[in-house]
Amino acid sequence: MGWQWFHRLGSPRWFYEKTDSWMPWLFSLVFVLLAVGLVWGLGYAPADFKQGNSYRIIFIHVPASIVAMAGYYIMAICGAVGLIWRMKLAFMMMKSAAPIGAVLTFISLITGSIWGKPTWGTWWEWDARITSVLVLFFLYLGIIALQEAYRNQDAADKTSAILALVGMVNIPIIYKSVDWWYTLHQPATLKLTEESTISASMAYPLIWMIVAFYVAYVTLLLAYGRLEVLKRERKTRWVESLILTSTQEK
Amino acid sequence: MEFQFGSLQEFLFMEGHGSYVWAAYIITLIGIGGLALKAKLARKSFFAMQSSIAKRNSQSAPEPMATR
Repeated sequence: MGWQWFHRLGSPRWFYEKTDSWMPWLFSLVFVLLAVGLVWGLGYAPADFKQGNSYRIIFIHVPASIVAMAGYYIMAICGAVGLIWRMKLAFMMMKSAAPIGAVLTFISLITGSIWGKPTWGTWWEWDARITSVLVLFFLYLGIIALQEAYRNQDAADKTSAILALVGMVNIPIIYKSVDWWYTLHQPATLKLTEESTISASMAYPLIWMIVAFYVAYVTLLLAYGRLEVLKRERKTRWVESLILTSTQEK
Repeated sequence: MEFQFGSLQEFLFMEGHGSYVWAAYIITLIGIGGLALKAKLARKSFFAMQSSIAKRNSQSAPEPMATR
């Protein structure tokens, strides 16, 4: 009884049908969370006394970076679950996580670069933090490329899961890079264990945006995962009947 | 909590940092919006593709028997 949910989770069909009614709600929630967060960060949060208004990029740069890193763990854990328990759904989620993570990492790099120009006077610096995030971006691209490189889906899944697991080494390096090396990049603003170095009027919209990005990530991961389920299960009877219903609706 | 800028011009200009801030926000929105849009379009094209394949198969395959 206790393990039933775990076996159900292995069923792509159960996952697809369970999440079916969630999607419109989740997309609306993401829209509201992002809209409120953007207006708050752009217009209502006070300007920084040192950086002026350029610091407003923090409200997208930090959430995108956090979720890009968390998303890598999610992708790698899915890969591990797929390898250990041969769970098909886990591989589908791993594949779906890669493009979302890549876009978020790209956003993190680009917004960081744009923020760097008025603040540090340079678009790019081969600094420990920036370089390790660039490696993260290439790891995501590597997973996407590996998925496309094999004709055999099973081989593609196993190889990309191994790459995802090996690449996990990079995440603590990114996280700790600002403490281990003397870098241009500023250390973390929000801290869980000690007093944060940010005023509440700036911290609240930042936390709001981090939540918004997490919800957006989960929603997109579900949407891409559901699509992957359909593609891989297209020859099963339940997907065929879904296709038949979609034709009749037209 | 109040709006930090006196006019729309000030809001867009942001004391000289406007182009940086707005560019960063617009790129982020394009990225996230693009992911959502791509998921939607890919889903639509999946159903269109598969239903056309199913139609072709049903035309070429022999009629199923009415009784067994």
